[in-house]
Amino acid sequence: MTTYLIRRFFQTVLFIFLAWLSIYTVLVYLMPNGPMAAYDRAQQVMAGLAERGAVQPKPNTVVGPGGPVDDRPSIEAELKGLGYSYGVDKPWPLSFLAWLYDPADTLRIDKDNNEVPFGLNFDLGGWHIQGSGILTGDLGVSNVSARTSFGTGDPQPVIEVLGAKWANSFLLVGLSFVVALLFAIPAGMITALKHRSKLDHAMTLASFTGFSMPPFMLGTLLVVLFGVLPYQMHQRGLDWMPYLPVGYIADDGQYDNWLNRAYHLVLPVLTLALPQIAWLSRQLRFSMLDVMRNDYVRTARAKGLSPFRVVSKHTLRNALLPLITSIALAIPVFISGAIMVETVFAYGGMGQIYFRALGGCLATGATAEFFCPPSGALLPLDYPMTLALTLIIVVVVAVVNMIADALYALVDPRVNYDDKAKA
Amino acid sequence: MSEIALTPKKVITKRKKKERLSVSQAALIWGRFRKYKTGVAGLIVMILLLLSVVIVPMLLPFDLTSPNPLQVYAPAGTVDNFNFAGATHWLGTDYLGRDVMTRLFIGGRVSLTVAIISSVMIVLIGSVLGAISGFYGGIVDTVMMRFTDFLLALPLLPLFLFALRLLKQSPGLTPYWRNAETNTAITILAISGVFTLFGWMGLARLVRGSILSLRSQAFVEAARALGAANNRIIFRHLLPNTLAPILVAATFAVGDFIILESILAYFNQGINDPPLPSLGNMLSSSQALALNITNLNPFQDIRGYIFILPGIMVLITVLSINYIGDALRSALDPHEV
Repeated sequence: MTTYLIRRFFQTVLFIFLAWLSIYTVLVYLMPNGPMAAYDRAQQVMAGLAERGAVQPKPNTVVGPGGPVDDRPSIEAELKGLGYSYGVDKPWPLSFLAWLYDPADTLRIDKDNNEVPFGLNFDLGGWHIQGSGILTGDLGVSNVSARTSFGTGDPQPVIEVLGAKWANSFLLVGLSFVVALLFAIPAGMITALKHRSKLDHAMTLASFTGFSMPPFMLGTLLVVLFGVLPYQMHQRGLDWMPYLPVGYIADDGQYDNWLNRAYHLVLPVLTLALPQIAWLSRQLRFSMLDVMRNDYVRTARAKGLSPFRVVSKHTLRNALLPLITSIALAIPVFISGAIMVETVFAYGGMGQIYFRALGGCLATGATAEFFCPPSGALLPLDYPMTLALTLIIVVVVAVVNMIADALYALVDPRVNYDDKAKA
Repeated sequence: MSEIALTPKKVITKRKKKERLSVSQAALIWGRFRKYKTGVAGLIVMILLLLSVVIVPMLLPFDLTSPNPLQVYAPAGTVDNFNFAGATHWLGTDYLGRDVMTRLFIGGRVSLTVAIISSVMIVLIGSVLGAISGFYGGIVDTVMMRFTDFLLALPLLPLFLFALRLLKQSPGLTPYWRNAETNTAITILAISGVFTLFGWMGLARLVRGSILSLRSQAFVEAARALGAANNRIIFRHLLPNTLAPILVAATFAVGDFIILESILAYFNQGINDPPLPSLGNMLSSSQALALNITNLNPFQDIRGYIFILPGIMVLITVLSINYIGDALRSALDPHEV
């Protein structure tokens, strides 16, 4: 068992490393408009300039002690600086390692051209640790600001943007995860116990409806159903539909009003949770039906145990085992759903930022015509932000999978994991 | 002499008329599928959809691209007075004055095409890779399954977007994207190609699992004893036996791909709108309209319905596919009572 868990841990670390390497390679080296392509283009332009004899800088107007001095960097130096800031100044695998952690890279140049210390720099019991890289928390500077919905404004460090928003996203995803589990388990149980009843058919229809549409459509429909339509009814004096007013989250001091925040979480959480309730309850229904076929359930019923005991001790416990895997598989769906749900509800979290970073357009309504490209045209990727968030998602999903496997190994005594032979 | 020879023939012909001696596998499955009323209903709806998606646009005079600046957001039932004067816009027009009904059904056609192409492709690739992996075992199996696990654990949505971006911006393909004649074909191919590239893993694992349990059975040994080559064993003996789970997975995959296409459209990377509508790009481009509904009467204001109609179309399509898949799974599962 311990061997299995240790092996699983190292597998996860290896997976994360390989996944990061491939995502880094695709984004930085292979993207046709990516950093490496831009660097190549700059090199070509510079080479073309050099051929035409335009390399020599014009005499500068800066006057030094010995007459006019050219203080502009040479073209080689500029190229080197460009390669450095894009992170492509080293050959391919080395650049990835240096991007992860580079002990030599400890200085940055700030706005006023002063060199300032950067990254880690401390002593730990005789070791001097210094350097920077994403492993030290330096995720780069977002080249499309997430401050405004259109991606305009000053570039900000990725870590600051995410630091301000991560809690909102975790709140949303965590809440909808809890809600999904709270509703899915009873729903799955009931549909399995009342197999092929009218209730079962109704619940099946409801759950199929739940995952038969894209999340952004479900979110929009919920807004229309609970916000827009009742409001229009209310305007016309028809008050038979419960009307949810927009609320006042934008007002001063309302950000910390938990009642207000909970009120604004209802529909996003519902949008994220509904498809998952449908999916998980369906999985539980299947695994319960599977377990209920077993002889030991019949035995338990035959020896006179109460139906409650048969269901709770003999059926449900065994049926919940496969659900662990389903829940682990649901986490990536939650994450990709959160990207769209946060966008639909203009919820200030990492998903909304990721949507923009991946090339989605956040402007809606009348502003969309000015800020969004026509269909098929691409907004530029926000490379540092995309890299950072994709890598975070990879880690989250890998860790969740690892925990699910470990849990499965812990609670299911039937599977012998130390066995060398596989399958 | 001749009498004796004739008798058995007569018996056989008599029996054939009354009841069949043997029932084909397909007839057996159909007989069981028929018991699931929801599945049959889904199948009927699906057939109607497939027919209407082909026929309805033919019955309407409108085309997809010519705009009508005089009748933008015309309510349902408006009579056209521009390019197609005299024809009725049964479901109104969109922001460019194009007929919504034509776009709805052609959009459904495009979405279904992409989904079905990708589904067939993942069946081909997934079953072959899974069969090879399960049949040969050993190092081949280990390497392929590690690779499959690796792909399965990656976040799919960003990968789709990156891959589409790579295809759209790569210098070799740019002329095809720019050319109006090839744009349609290459868009559909690119999207279904990307779906295939990152969609075959689940099917491969499924097929591998069933091949693993099948390959030690007697009929494989018998085939090998008769001198059948590995290829023949895989494609003639093993894969037909795994058809049931493949069929179910492929059915569900069609629904998933319709939803995925609309998600890509939400990121503005689905089917390009000016040449072709799809359910996804109709949904994502009209989302703001739904949020500003002020009038629910489609004969006065069509705007909200430009979102709701493709939404209903997606819902009906995917719902019927899911019901078909569900009934198929039950019909193909020998344990199901």
